[in-house]
Amino acid sequence: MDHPLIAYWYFHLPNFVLAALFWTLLGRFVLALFVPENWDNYIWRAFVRLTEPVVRIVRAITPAIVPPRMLLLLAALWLLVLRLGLFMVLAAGDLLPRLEG
Amino acid sequence: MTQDATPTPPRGPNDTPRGDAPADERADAVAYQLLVPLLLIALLNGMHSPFTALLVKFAGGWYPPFLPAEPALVLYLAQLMVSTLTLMLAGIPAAVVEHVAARAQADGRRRTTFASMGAWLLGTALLTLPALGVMRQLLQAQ
Repeated sequence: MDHPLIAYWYFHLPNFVLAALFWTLLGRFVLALFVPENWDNYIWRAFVRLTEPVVRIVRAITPAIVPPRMLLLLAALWLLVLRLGLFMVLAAGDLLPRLEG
Repeated sequence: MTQDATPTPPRGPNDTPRGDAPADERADAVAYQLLVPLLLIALLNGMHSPFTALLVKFAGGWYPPFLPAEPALVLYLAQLMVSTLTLMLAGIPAAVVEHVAARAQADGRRRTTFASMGAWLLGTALLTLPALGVMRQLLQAQ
């Protein structure tokens, strides 16, 4: 039988991407409390580069009154909603990975 | 005695990271008046929405494992999530209103106006309708 990671790739792959983006957004939010937005550090730039596409989409669907830093938290929540949605859809289709043993 | 010549960057509510407009330019002053009823309605929805029970049921999918497995805490966080999600979902039509209004502006800059806040409030009220049914049942049971 295939390795569970391969057999259930349709769950693990999007779940991993969404989780990685979620935690990177939270990391960027926390870092942004201490560093300037245009900091030239390569780690900070990696955080911004990875998360900016998501933040840009969330900015487009969020009223302008919401402060820019709050957008990071909202973007993280949208990703959480997507993960929950993925979980619920796969659970409804009985497609979630099963614990074996 | 000499003063430090390096200028300090402004830090405060009007701080403008990423070159966004300052807070007072992002919204009409009158639009702020609708924030309080907006938040109150969203709070009410979080407390009584049937979706809160659904989130509690699926807590395994979102509840952080490092937090204590206290039912009261799970319920509180579920209510907080539903309130926030109400605001996020209802904010989409409000953002659309702002995008449409920005096209008519000379500078093309998006601002929160009374109309967009009204759309946000209306959307939040509509999303709160299922909670009203739950509240009515609770009142009748007493």
